[in-house]
Amino acid sequence: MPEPKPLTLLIVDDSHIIRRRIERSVAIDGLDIVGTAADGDEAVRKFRKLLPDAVTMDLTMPGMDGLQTISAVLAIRPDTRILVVSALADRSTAIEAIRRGARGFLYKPFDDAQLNEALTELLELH
Amino acid sequence: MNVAAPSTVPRRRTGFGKYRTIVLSIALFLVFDLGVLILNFYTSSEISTDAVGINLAGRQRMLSQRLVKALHEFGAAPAGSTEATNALMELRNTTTLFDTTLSAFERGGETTGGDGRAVLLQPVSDARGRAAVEAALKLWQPLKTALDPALRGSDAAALHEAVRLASSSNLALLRLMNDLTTALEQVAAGKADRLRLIQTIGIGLALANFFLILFHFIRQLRDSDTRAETARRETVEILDTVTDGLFLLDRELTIGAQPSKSLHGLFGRSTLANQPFLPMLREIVSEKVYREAADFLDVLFREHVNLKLVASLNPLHEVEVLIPGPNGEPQRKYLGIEFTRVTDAHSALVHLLVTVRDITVRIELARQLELSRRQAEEQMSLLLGILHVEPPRLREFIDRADKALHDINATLRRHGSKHLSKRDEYRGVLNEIFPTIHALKGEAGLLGLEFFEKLAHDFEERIVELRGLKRVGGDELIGLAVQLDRLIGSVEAVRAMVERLGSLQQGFAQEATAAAGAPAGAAAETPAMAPTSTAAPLPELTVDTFRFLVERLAQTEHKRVQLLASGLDTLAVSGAEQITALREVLVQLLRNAVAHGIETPEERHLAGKTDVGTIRLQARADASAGIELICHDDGRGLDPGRIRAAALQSGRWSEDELDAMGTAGLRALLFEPGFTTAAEATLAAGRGVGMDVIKHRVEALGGTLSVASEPGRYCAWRITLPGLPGLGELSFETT
Repeated sequence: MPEPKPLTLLIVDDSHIIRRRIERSVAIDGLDIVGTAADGDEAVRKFRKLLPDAVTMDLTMPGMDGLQTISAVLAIRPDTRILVVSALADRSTAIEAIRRGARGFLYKPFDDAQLNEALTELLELH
Repeated sequence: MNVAAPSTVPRRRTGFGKYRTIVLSIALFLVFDLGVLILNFYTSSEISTDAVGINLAGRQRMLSQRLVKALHEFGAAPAGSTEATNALMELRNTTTLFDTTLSAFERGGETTGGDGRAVLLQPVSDARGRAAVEAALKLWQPLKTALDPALRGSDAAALHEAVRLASSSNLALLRLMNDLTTALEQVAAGKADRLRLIQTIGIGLALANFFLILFHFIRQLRDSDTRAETARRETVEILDTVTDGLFLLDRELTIGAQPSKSLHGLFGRSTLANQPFLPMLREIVSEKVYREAADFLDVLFREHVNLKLVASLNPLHEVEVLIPGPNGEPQRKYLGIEFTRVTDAHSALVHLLVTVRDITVRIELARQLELSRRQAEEQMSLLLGILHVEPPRLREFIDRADKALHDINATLRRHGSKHLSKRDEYRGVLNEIFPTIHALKGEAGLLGLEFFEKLAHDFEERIVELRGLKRVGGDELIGLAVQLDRLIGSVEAVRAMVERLGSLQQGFAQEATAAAGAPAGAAAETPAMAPTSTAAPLPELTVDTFRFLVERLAQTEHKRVQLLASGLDTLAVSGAEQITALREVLVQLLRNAVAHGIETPEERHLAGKTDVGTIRLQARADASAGIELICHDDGRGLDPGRIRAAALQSGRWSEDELDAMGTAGLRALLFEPGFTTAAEATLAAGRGVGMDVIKHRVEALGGTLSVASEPGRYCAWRITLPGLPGLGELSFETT
């Protein structure tokens, strides 16, 4: 039986530490991290090129913020599964992100298990 | 929150399932109907055939009579006349018809019907009919033979013979044909009876079937009604007794028709069924939570959203609400509201199941736990705080604090019981309390009793808050009393701790003495921390005490400050009242210097100064002039612009008034009660007390207070106390 094509993930966060953190922590069979972006503009540029299946999205970023980036990304590929990764303090922004089409929310700080669980749930890999 | 398990789809069953009975009944009904119809059709066609036979048998009777009549007419008519010809034709026709019909009755065959058309007759099968036909044939054959020559010609003898024979057999033939008719009629009547029987049975069966179906379905309906009623009653019982609030929410966010009974208590409303949820929610939660909840509910109904992945965003997970109580008084409660999706058989989202729990007890318990944890921490910091303070000073502080707090308590009680109608009277009470608590705060800070300092600070904040209110009632003063109790309690705690430490130390001392072989009684007479000790001289105004205060304040303000003092060690003042007053004044001046004077290292750097600010405290005593104290800081100085802006913001002075004041006037504002230039209150400064208190203290001691400053360079406060002559020789530096 041929191996199923792996799903692809793009990490968007302005914090270098959080990007590294997610990169190192993701341990899901069939999910490849194909890129990282530090702001909205870079995210959209890389998204257009890579067309990933899933995106982890920070909300507060310099320049184009998370909400705008979500709209831009979904305009390119509407079935993208977006997981908002943000602090619970800006709950209303997070809810707005979900209204714009993101599918789930993971609050910072998170541990490895929570991250992998959320991504598994996001991609319905269970 | 959980994703709802998909409801089980009813298993498709082969056959008709519960409709089997009705299908069977209908089939039976059709079979009965069809059977009756076929039999009916068959029998009635037989009856109609029989009717033809009866008709023709009747015609035979008539023909036999016509035959005789025609024979007589033929005989009587002159030969060759028209009458004779007609009679002969009639005779021929009658004979032929009678003969054909009779033989058809016997063997079966065709004959001519009443309307001239050919009719097929079946041989007569009935016994009586058959006998009649056969008897008739026996009579007919000779007559027919006799008639034959008469029909062919006009042989008179043959005719005569025929007439004789016809006349003699005529009656018999008539009777026989009559018998045949009767017999055929009886057969037909029998068939008609049978047909009626069949119809009756058919209708009976159909009716029986109908009633069976009727009773069966009535019973089924009653059974299912009973089951539905039982289920409904169970649901109602559950919804009436469950303590959780339960209800369904549809896409229009309308509460379902059957919310659980407890929900009314939880939301404090009598009508909930079919009401819109959001306006109801808006009345009990804050506007922010309401808006978030509205957006969150919108998200929950979007099927692409994974419920598990947004559960943490639920703003109603633990929400503070104000519920109208039984007396209309709003009650503060905490509710936990969770949402679960309800899907139909096709996995389409139709409702949200909402569960509401009163979690007030849980939240309050958690708060109590947090409070006791904090109290434990406070006890510990209290302990750590007092360990480094010299015992006599600590005891003095405790006594003073105790007295001051009880004085405040007495003031509150005195006014709490009175009816104070005017705002100014409340303000008066608050203003009376304020300097005392502020001084205690300063003392605590000086001794490094951070815990106590914090409590006093909170108390002070509350007073300021109350001063800003338009109306202050007895309730608010009682609230203050509660806070005061905590302060008194902490003083008691410090006292208890000091005593325990004292006895501990005493224990150690005794042990040491015992080990050295000395009598135990001697050690007990000189305890290191005897509660009644007054022997040790109080190091009231040492540089170290103030340095400690300045460093600690600087740390909380994120500043770097060094304190240079001179003359303090030689300044000796007699009398506890004066010592306390002087210390309070110095503490306040140092606080102001750290909080308002010295800038942050960044600001100082930008201003071209060294990062570390310097405060100089100089004291000198002069036999004639008394004591002079100078507190000088190299900070930002008094900025008339800042004072003016702060004064304007306080709303107590108009622009015109401020313009008229001039620099000196603006500086004088610093001595107004409640005036401050700090943006926010900190432990060090900013509540707007201090300068007025200092001024009053100094004046109470008979002294004067003056200030010199250059914006951006320095600020120096000078206190002269002529009434307090210093003792001993003093040396001092000059600025």
